[in-house]
Amino acid sequence: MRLFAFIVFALSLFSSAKASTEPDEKRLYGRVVDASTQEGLFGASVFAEGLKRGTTTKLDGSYSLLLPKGAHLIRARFVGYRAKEIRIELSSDMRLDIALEPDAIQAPEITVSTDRDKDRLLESTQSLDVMTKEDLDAHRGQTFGESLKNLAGVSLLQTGVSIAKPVVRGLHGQRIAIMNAGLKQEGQQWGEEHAPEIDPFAASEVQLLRGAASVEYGADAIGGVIRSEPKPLFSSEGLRGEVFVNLFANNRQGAVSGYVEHSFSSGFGFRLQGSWRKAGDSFASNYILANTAFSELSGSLMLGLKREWGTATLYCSRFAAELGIFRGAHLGNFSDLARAIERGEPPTALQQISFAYAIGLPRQEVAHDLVSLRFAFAPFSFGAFSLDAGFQLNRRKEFDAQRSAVARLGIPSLNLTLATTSLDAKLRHKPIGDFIGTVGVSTSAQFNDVGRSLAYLVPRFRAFSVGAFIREEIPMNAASLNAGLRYDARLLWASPRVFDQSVQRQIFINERRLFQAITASAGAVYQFSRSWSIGLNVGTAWRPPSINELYADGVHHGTGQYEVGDRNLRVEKSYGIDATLRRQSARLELEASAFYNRFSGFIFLEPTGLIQSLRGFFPAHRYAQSDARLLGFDGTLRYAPFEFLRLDATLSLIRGRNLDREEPLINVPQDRLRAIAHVHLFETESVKDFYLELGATAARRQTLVPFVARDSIAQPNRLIAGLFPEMTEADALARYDRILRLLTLAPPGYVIWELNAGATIRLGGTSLKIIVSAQNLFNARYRDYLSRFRLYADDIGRNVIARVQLPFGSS
Amino acid sequence: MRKLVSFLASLATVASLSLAQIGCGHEHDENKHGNITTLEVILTDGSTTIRAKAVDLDGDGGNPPRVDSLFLPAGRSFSGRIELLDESKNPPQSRTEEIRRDADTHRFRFSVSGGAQGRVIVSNLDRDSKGQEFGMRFDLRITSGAATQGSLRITLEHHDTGDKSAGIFDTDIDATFPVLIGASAIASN
Repeated sequence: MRLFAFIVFALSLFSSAKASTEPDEKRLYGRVVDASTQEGLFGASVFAEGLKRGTTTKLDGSYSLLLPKGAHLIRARFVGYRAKEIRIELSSDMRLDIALEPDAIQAPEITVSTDRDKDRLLESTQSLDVMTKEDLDAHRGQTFGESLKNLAGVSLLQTGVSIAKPVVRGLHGQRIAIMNAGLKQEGQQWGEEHAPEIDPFAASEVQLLRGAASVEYGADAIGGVIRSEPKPLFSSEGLRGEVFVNLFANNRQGAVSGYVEHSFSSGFGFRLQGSWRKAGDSFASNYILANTAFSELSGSLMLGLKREWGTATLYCSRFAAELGIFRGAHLGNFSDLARAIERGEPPTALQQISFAYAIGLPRQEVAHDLVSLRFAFAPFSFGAFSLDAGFQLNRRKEFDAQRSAVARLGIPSLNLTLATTSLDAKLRHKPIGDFIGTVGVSTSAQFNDVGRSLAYLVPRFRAFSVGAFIREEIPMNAASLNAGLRYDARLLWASPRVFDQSVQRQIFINERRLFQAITASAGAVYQFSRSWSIGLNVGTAWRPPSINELYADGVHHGTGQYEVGDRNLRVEKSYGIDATLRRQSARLELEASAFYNRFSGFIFLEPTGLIQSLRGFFPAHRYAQSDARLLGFDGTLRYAPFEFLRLDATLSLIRGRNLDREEPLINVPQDRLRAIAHVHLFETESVKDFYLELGATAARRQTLVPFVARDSIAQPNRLIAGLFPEMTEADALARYDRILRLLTLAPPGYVIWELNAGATIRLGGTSLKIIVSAQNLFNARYRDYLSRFRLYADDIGRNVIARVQLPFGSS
Repeated sequence: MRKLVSFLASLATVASLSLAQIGCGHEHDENKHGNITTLEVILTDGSTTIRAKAVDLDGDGGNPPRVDSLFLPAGRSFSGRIELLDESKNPPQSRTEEIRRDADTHRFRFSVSGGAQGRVIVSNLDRDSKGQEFGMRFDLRITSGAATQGSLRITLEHHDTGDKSAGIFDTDIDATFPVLIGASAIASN
């Protein structure tokens, strides 16, 4: 009901916005030309900083832009030219010609065109969101994933507070690509409790591209792409830096981060950045969540060189974290699972445990080292060239509570080391006729080592991947068309453990598999009125089956669930179509996107019954493939009816279905609406931008869940009765049915509130930014459907967060 | 350009160092530690020894465990103990002492059901250093009466907080032995 009220609220905003009139606007027009030849530059962007309004030039370099009266900072940019900023005072229609100097150095990054600079309306044929440094500073979470949770279409698959996997349009893990400093982040991302190993403080810009993007990003970019970029060097000269302090009351967490950077006029620059975080146990509204403490120590070094031939950037980063896993969700076997589910809450003794920063068992130790070396240059006249070389080393150790004697000896249950080297080369060519575009090749080599560990889950493997793509674009006055094509191959050598029937035991074998796919995409965006555009995109995406889907054979870390891979899995392919409607005006910004994603060979975990060992019974699952579809809607609305008031809303709706099994897909995020009112309070000489925000997130109960019935799994009743030898067979079956039902049902919907206040205070030569925010303001009890602890404990209660940010040095 | 070369050199160094670190790989040596394939119940009364094993040589997955039946003579009392073994090794290794050393965080639990309920009584469990029940050694008594059958379930609970009354535990072992109560003693093995 409350959700309904929100929708009405959002819709009424939308309709009233349509009725409101534009403020007094004037026309800014002129030409953007090459300073040396005076030739018009086609496709250059001209936009008003701060307003996020702009346009691109026509064939002859001309442009025209409507802007409100007053002072503006106009910026013009074009590939291979130095950007130019001009201050203007717009009182009537005005002509402004801009001459740009060719700049061999400035070979811009080749990315999806996500610069806010470019006209938002024609920016992309796909749905796109950008979190700027300011957004990130205000919402930086306890984890990288949590920083993104307010974006439309994003949910979090959480294993407690410390582990949050971003879910984009219902897909996560191996089905989204996370780019970190230009490299595809390669960890053990197949695991539901394996979060991206990225320091939330390291990113200064995060871009979210929704929908399939395999053509540019290769395998895995099925649900979308998250790009995390460190702050670019050379934004200003001289020595400067920033210090961040974040305090989280709920788990008495302190996080400190800072950087110093220096750009020299000689064209050399560096940045040294570090973060430290220590968190104790979290609290749900009524009880402590035992053993949820975590700590993180991360750092990065960035070196940059700017010369006539181009730029070179070296980025080295290390992320290291130790994470406690909620003790109440750790399970030995089915009997433990049954007890925990039937209780539904942590055991009383566990609820009364005292708060600690100590991390006990179970726990994870994760370290991720990343080195990226990026070159950007324009060697010849035909375009801008970029070369990214990367090396990543991911180490993951997971310690079980089961045999603490062994864990004390330092032997983990899971001990994996994944090394990835990659090389990507891209050329963004100068216009050829009406075409501008990019061609690229990428290669990567991977090595996964299984260290000394207690149990087998996935094998060691080597893999080699290659890919090549071309993507061309035809920019037009009020439209843009693009199309792309890509080929990828991945060769895998693995040494899995299999059960040999002839000798009746498990043996290791060597196996080679080749996965390959051709993907294509096409898109169009059309600006059909001054402030509206519509984009349409069709695309295919793919991914090879991940290592656990092929070869898993074991009980996964404390989940009490036995997973078996299928060596014969094929590649998973997706065929997606999405349409995006955008409005961009001074008072109203809107992006609404509908999508349909059809899968062939969708890989999922299928329950297969119970298996028995000396440890007892385990629910067994096997990886299987079928046709599936996902469809949904995500929208972002920003409406500023008055100078002092801004209303933001995001809505995400997703439906997923397994077409072969004729049932809903599991773990599809619940419908979610977030609305927030931002009130700009006042401004004085020493206090700038003092604001207050009140917001709410409403999530509807997920009713579309796959139901596993006893009858759907072939197993004798006698076996089920063996689960509970103390009960009669009829009682045991009834109890088993009840447990299956509890396992699949989603928790009720919820509404949680937040209150935020912030201000920038001038202090001498610098300005201190302070934000205080209360999440889950009313300490509501709730459980999100995507919380992996939803069967055992509530999600966290009220969390009051204080953020202080202090820049220093030359600005 | 020279800086560029040194960039590349440092990258190569970092890469090769890291590769060297993981290059000296370990063999798959899982199950070398802490693996228990076998739980054996041994009952003696001075003249008779009764043994029954639950064995799962291939660990989780593969085949289900093989469990012996316990043939128990009515009207007799035994002192019992539990042996834990890793029989996937040659020769088999005992894990009994490893768990005994961790007596403070472990507890064997016995539950009797079916026709054996009320006929098989497990008592006098040995204690850990804090006086809490451990149960690796115990007394087992079979009351007199007609022949019947049922089961004896033996679980090994791992209470990592050390407080066995808190109810916070994982199950390390869960084995259910079929029990056949006969009129007279039948010594197995």
